[in-house]
Amino acid sequence: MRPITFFRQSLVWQYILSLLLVALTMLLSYFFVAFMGYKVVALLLLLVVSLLAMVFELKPVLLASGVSALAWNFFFIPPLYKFTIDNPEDALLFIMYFVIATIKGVLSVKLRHAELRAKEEENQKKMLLLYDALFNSLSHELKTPISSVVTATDALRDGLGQLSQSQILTLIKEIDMAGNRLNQQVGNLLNMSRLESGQVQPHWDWCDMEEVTRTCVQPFRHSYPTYDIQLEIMPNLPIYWTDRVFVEQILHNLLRNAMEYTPENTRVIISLRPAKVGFQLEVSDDGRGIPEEIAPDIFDKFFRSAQASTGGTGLGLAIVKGFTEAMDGSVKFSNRPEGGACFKVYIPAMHTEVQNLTDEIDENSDH
Amino acid sequence: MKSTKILIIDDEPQIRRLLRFTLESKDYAVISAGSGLEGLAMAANHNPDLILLDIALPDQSGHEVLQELQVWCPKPVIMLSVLDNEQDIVRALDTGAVDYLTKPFRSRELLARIRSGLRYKQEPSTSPLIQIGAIKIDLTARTITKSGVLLRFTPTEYKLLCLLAKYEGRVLTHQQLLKEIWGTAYQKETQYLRVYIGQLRKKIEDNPNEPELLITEPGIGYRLG
Repeated sequence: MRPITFFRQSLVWQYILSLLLVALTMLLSYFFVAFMGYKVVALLLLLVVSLLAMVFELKPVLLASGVSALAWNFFFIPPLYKFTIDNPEDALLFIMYFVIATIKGVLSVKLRHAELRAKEEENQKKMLLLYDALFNSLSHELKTPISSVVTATDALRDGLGQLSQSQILTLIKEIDMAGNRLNQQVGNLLNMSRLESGQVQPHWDWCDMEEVTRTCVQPFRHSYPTYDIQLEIMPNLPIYWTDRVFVEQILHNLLRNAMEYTPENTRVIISLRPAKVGFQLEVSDDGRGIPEEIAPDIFDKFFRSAQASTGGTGLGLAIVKGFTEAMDGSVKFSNRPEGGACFKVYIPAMHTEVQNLTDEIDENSDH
Repeated sequence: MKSTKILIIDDEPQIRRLLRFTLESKDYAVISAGSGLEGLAMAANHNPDLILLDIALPDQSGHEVLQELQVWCPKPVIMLSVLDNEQDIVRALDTGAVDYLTKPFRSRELLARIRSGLRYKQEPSTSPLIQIGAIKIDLTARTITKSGVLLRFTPTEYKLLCLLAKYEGRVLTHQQLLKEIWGTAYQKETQYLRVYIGQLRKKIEDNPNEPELLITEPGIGYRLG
C-alpha cells in the first residue's frame, strides 16, 4: 500500500513514472515488433495507459496517452522515425488510439474518484450514526452523575436541621460517587479523543509492572467488594521499558469492563507474566462470556452489546485497543472453554533483570 | 497568634471559593488572586507563608509565575494542575515547587500537602530523629528500627530511605532521587529506583504489595509518609 500512496501523493513522481513506463513498453515492443506487428504495440500501450489510470491522477495519465500516441507514430507507424503517416488506415488507427487512450484514462480516473467519494460518504454516514450513539450514551453517562449532585445538594439544603447525621452522610456519599464517575467518564473521553487525533505518544520509562498492576487493581477491590478479584503475578519479574500510563489505562478499562458486564460474586483473575519479548496481561472472569457473533465488534468505538445495561459509553475496549496498538502490542479476546471472557494483552518491551541492578548485599552494610 | 497565610493563585472563582472555605475552616488566613500578575503582586505585598499556584493561568503560565517567585520569594509553592500531565508537574517540581496536587483532589490531601510544605519550606528536616509510622530513623546512630526492631539495609537503601525521610510527606521526583543517591550520570536510570524502592518496601512496609508509607507518585516520583 505504501508505495502506491506515496506515488499518489507526489504528482511529480506520477509524471516521471508515467513517462518511464511508456518508454519501457516502447523499448520492449521495439525488440519484439517483428514478431507481433506494430498494431499490437498500440494495444500494449493502451494497456499501460489503462493501468496508469487505475492509480494515477488525470494529468499524468493524459500525458502518458499523448506521449504514447506520438511515440507510437514516430517509432512504429511507417514511415518510421517521422511524425507523418502515409497510409489512411494507419492515420485512422493513430487517431483512434489517441481518442481511446484519452477517454479510457479520463473515465478510469473519474470512476476512481467517484468510488472514493461514495466511500467517504458512507464513512460519514457511519460516523453520524456513531455520534448519535455517542450522544445518547454520553448524555446518559454524564447527566446521571450531574443530576445526582443536583438532587443530593437540594436534599441537603431543604433538609437543613432536619436530616440525621447518617442521612447527611448518605447524601454526601452520593455526591462523592457522582464526582468520581464524572471524573472517570471525562478521563475516558479525553483518552479517546487523544487516541483519535493520533497525539498519543508512549512516554517510555522503566516500570515495575507488578507495582503498576497492583496499584491499578487495588481501587477495584473497594469499589466492587462483592467480586472475587484474584491476582496471579509471576514472581521475580524483570523491570520493563514501557509506558505505565498506557498499561494502567488498558488494565483499568479491562477490569471495569469485567465488573460491569458480569453479575456480582463473579471471579475476576488478573494475571501478569513475562512473554518472549515483553509481558502479557490477562483479565479473565467466570461470567457469561461474550456471544461469539458480536465478539469481532467489541473493540469498535461506541459498540455496546445488546445485553449491556444502561450506562457505559462503549469506549472502554476501544481505548484498550488504542493504547495497546500505540505500544505495538496486541489484544485478543476469547471465551474460556469453562465459561467466561478472557482478554489477553501482549505488550512488547525491553527488560532488565533485577539482580543486574543490585550488587550490594546486606552484610556489607555498616548499619 | 498570627495565623498562617496562604495565597491561592487560580483563575477559577469557584475553585478559589472552595479552597478558601476549606482552608479558613482550618484557621488558615487566605488571600487569593485570579491571574499570574495579580498573584505575584499579592506575594510581594502580603508575604504569604505558602502559595497554591495553578499551572494554567490566563495571562501567563504557572511555570513562569513559579520561576519569578523563585527569584525573590523563598516561600513554598504547591502546584495545582487540572491535567494529568506528568511532564508539566515534574518540570514544576524540578524548578522549585515543593509539591503538587491534581484536580480533582481531596481536601484531606490538600491539607496534608500544605502541612508538609509548611514544615520544611525549601529545606529538609534537620532533626536527627525521624519517626514515620512505626519506622524510627536515628541519623546520628545510623540506625533504623520498625516497632523497636532493628532493620538492616544496604548502603544505597539506607541513603535512599534517609533522603525520603528528610522530606517526609513531600514528593521527590525521580530526577531528584537519582541525582542525590546515584549522581548526575544516573538521572535517566529509573530502573535502579524501581528496584531499590521495591526492596525498601519489603523491609519497612507491613504489606509490601499495598504500601502505606512509601508511596509511588506515578510518573513523577516517590513520597514517604
